[in-house]
Amino acid sequence: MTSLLELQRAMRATLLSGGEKSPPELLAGIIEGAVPAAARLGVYRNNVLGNLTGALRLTFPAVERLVGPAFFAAAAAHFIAAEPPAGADLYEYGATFPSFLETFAPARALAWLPDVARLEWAVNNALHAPVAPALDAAALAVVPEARHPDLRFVAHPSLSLLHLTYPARAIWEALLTADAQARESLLAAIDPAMPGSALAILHNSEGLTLLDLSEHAFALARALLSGQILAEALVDASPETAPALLGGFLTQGFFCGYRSADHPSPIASECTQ
Amino acid sequence: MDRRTFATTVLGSAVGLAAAAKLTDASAQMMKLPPGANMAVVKENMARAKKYHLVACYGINAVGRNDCAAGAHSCAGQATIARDPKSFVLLPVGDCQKIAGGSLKPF
Repeated sequence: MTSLLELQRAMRATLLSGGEKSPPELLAGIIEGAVPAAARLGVYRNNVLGNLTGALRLTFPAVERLVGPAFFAAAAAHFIAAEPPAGADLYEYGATFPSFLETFAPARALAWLPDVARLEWAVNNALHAPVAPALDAAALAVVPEARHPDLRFVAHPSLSLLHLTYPARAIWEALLTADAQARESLLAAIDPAMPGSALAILHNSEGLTLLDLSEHAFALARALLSGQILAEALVDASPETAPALLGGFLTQGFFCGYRSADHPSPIASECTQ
Repeated sequence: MDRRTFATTVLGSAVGLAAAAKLTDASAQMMKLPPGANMAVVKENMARAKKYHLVACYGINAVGRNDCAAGAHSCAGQATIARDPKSFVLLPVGDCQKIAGGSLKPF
């Protein structure tokens, strides 16, 4: 007699193994009928694989276009066996797929593939992040000037900052072009050796937004969101560009709030979920 | 100018710029278009990509992603034999070949 825990573990191992063989103790617990026990388990196994592959497909459509459906399904099967979901919500599944692709030997010829996957994950995150209003610049007026240097900005939940080696944005945009002919000519114009880019991906009042950032802007955005206070984050910033950049971040909705905790009476505008 | 004064000045000007929506300046500083990129084309691509992604993924997966595969497509869901995609030789055959200079050999 197996315990429930043992049964669940055996079931999990069988479902994720992708193989045909099921442990006899598991098969012994399944009532045979018109469909044999092993075949019944097979239905479960294929459903799990199909479900998870489908979820990855929906999050990484450009990756699938790049490598084709068969290759994608195979890569997904390896990934699912190696890194099954940690939670029940499949919107959150696939965060580590980009780094998996980096180590996936059959994809090594496509050096830019992980960067395209990273971009797609950031887009997925922007589309499914909790809805939070952006920090309005006018709201900062309530903070006394003496406390400005101690402010820490809180990133909007939809925001990702990516520094990509390859021109993943151009590849992604070309791949998602619906018209096949336009897609081909866009793809043909891409040289993978083109410089990559620093990107901000977020969901703001304009909807899904991708911004190409200069190295300057990227460094400043990263410093501001690293948990440092404003005075520290601005150490490497230039007086000429910093005000306009920070103004731009505010208008684009990079932040959802701020904290100022280093004072006797903390000031905080927390992000609402 | 010390760090604290600098921070105060920068934030003050930033809030001023943002409030006055002097976006042209701020955006010009922030945006760095790829060399040779045409702003109109970039915008159009962006609009198309958004539309495609929202239609192809967001709209459908919003209802479908956490569903059971058997409910969505019963044939595939009820197959009892594993396809075992691990056993065949893997070769990417998608649009990667259409990228100029896109080598299929290891770099």
